[in-house]
Amino acid sequence: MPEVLPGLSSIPFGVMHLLLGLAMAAMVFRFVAGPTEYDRLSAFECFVITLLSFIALQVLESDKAWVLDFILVMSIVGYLSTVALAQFQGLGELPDPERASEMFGGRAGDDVNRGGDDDISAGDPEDAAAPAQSAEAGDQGGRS
Amino acid sequence: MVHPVLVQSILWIGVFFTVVGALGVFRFGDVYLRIQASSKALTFGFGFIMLGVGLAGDDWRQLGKSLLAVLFMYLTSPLAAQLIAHAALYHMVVTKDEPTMPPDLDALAATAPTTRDTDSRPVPPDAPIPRG
Repeated sequence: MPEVLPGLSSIPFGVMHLLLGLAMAAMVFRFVAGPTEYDRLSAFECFVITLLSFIALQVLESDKAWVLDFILVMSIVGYLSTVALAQFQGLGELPDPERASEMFGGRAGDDVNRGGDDDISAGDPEDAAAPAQSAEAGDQGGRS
Repeated sequence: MVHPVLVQSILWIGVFFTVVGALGVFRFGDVYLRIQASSKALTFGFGFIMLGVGLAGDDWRQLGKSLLAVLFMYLTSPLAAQLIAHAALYHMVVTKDEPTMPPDLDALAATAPTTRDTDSRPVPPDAPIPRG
């Protein structure tokens, strides 16, 4: 990669790096002290985006254009990890229509997951176990 | 390719929006507000920073890679934010200021269909509101 621009040395990269570092520190604080898991998820995604901006400024400063490939790959990895964690956290057990009709039709919601932190932490093994059982059932149905 | 003052202006715009988004993530008191701040301001700032980086190079490949990263981020960031918000809404994380959830259950049960479409959310009656 040849010299990028002769006037780029006048850009105060240190101030920009400092500001982006403060932004990443705020996101790390939100990741640590988030009240719910979804705060941590969103803080993780924000951290990835800000880190990519940081690396992009590093590209301009150090004149290494091949680092842009790492930015592309890291954006894909960050998006996929966010989607996987969101699926594992919240969307693991989608309610089936029978349960939903029970939920909406008159009965006072006896076996309804009422949410909250305790139920979220208690529901994680169920989230992990339910797709496995459905997958096994699907395999057996396919074989027979 | 481009004058450095223009590159510096675009970079400062991107840094400004990134810092404002981080301030929103730091200060807002709710999951949905934080998702809103992150998914709009941070993506906008990332787009400006990558545009500045792409314009600074004397190579068309650098601009292409930067715009590809911006396009991918603009495509995927709302999807991730919507997934996180959907997961938080499914587990009844309420807003901080006023409990907008659960809504009026009697009016909901009066108009409830027998089969449930996938977009409506499960609403347990008289659930304790978890303060998120």
